[in-house]
Amino acid sequence: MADVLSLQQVSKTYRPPGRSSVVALDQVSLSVPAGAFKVVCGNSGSGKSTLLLSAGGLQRPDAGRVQVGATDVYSLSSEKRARFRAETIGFVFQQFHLIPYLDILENVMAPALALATDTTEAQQRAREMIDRLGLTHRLDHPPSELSIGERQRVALARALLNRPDLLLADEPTGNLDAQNGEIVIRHLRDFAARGGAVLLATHDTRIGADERYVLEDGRLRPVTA
Amino acid sequence: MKPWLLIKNEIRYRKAGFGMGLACVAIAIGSFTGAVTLLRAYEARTEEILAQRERETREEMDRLENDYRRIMRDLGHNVMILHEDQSRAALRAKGHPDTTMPEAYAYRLGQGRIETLNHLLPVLQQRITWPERELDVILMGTPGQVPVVHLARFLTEDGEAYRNPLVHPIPEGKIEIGHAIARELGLRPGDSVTLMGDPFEVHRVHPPQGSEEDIMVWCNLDVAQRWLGREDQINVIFALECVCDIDGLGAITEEVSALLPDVQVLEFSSRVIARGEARQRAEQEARRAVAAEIDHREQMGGELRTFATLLVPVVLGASGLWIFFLILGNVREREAEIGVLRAIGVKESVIAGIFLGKSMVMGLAGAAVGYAIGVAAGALGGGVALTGSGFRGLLDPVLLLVAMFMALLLCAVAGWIPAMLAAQRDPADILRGD
Ligand SMILES: Nc1ncnc2c1ncn2[C@@H]1O[C@H](COP(=O)(O)OP(=O)(O)OP(=O)(O)O)[C@@H](O)[C@H]1O
Ligand SMILES: [Mg+2]
Repeated sequence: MADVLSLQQVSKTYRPPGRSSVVALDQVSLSVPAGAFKVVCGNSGSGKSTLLLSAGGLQRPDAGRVQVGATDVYSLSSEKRARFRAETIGFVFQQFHLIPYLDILENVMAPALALATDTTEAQQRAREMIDRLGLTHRLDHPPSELSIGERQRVALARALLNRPDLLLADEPTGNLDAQNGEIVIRHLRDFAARGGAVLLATHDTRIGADERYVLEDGRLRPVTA
Repeated sequence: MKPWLLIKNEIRYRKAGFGMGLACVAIAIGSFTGAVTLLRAYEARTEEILAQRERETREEMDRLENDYRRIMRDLGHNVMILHEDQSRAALRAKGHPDTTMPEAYAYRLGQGRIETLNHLLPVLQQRITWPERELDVILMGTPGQVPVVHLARFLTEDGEAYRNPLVHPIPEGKIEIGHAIARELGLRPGDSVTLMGDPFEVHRVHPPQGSEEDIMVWCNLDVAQRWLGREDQINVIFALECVCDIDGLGAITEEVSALLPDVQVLEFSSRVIARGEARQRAEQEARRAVAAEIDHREQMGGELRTFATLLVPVVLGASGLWIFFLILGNVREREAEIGVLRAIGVKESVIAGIFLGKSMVMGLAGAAVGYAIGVAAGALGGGVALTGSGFRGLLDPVLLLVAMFMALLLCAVAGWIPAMLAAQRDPADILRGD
């Protein structure tokens, strides 16, 4: 299978002015082919978020290459990268980051802002996503009226709206109880099963995966079963 | 999905913040439109007051003029036109003029466009002894008043006679006599008398005047001319000085001598003149008061304008700063939202547009509220009621447009930096926070 995401020798060091620098990624190489569900484990501060942000075109590494599909992500201008991100990559965060003043349907439709998508078509797809995640009865509620687990499912629906090739999930279950965590993981697996590529970062070692990695002080190593 | 949805819903979601910004714009725009309207209202009110004062002054002047006219009429003629050669000493000694001039002079004056005289009365006057009664009298031969034709408002419609003459023509075959004569001779209106051999009926007895009029006998000019052997001659033209010009004698002499080169003009009855002068003084006083009021209001207006030109920029500046911090605060509280919008691929320009768009909405709404409050407050402050046509006159669409434009500019300037900060905020810093 072709690699959807491929990181080659990616390094990132934070150099806050006047303080000691932190090596967050140290020559990390990793690839996620279509249909794969890969998990990166690591302690807090090990560089997981940095890895995902770099992979998603949101944080330029100091060295190395990030490729999504056939595209060298950081060779694109910032405007083009934004559009590329909108078309190809979905994000899920531990804090969900739903927009508080939009209802569920509007939240899920938010990625349509980035693409000049036909609104009725986007709405159609949003409803499908919401339906698939079992939230149809909550369509016109604001996020504040949803349970925590429901909120993460809304965030997941939003990430999937533009039918991305790659899904990057940063601690998606970090704020969820076991049951809700399982629901989210099941949906992520579904996405991979239908040909998507998933890279998930977590410190929860119980989450099963096709392939697991451990990130320690910016260095990535595979975990053999 | 359009950015407008985000702007609209966010405004509704964070009403307090938006309301504060709106209030801020409203204060800025209100102070501007209020100042402009106040100045306009003040000026309109000034004009109104001045018009009122002018009207009052004019009415007062008219009243004085009517008074004056009435007094002059009561006093009768106050100007005498005599032949140039008439000696003043002889006039005083004899009590009547002894140098004659053509009767036609009176008509020439009446036809000329004189402004200073009215009620011309040509008279052939002489002290005689009433032979049948052996009584000294002053004979007054007159054809009645000669109209000054261009002063048509005093005349009958055909322009032939005065509507209210001071002296009426003496009908054929009749005479009028002074009060003293009537008493002395025991005469009453309707009595028949003989004078210089001719029979007459006493037409009227003049009321007592305490002057020479009490010993006068009035008859037709023709009759007097015949008796005295002075065909077509008179020796005085009495006239009434017009109210319009009180410098009197000079102007009258100038006008009269232009028409009649060989006459002299005498003025008597100084009471009239004093009265006229008082009237002129009153008029000057009134004009001075109006001028002083204009000065005062203009000075006040100037001070208001200075105050406004100082206050408005200060308020605009302060509001701009306040709006800047409000929007900056809004950017801060929406960082997570900015991060996630960037993550899902929303362009920086769209994010800047969302913030700028919101501040524009704030500007427009604030301008509308500010305009309404400002115009109302300005009108009230300037003394213009909100219900009258004066207030409608103050509603200026151009001012509304200027207010809108100013508000948009204010919000664009104040919102620009926060919007740029929002657009350029590094999403990684926000999203890594997990
Ligand atoms: N802007 C920054 N400046 C300096 N150091 C930073 C900055 N951002 C992250 N770091 C450091 O880089 C390291 C990796 O951070 P990162 O957020 O990627 O870790 P993480 O594995 O996601 O941690 P957690 O599980 O707590 O989310 C940490 O030691 C962190 O303190
Ligand atoms: Mg993290």
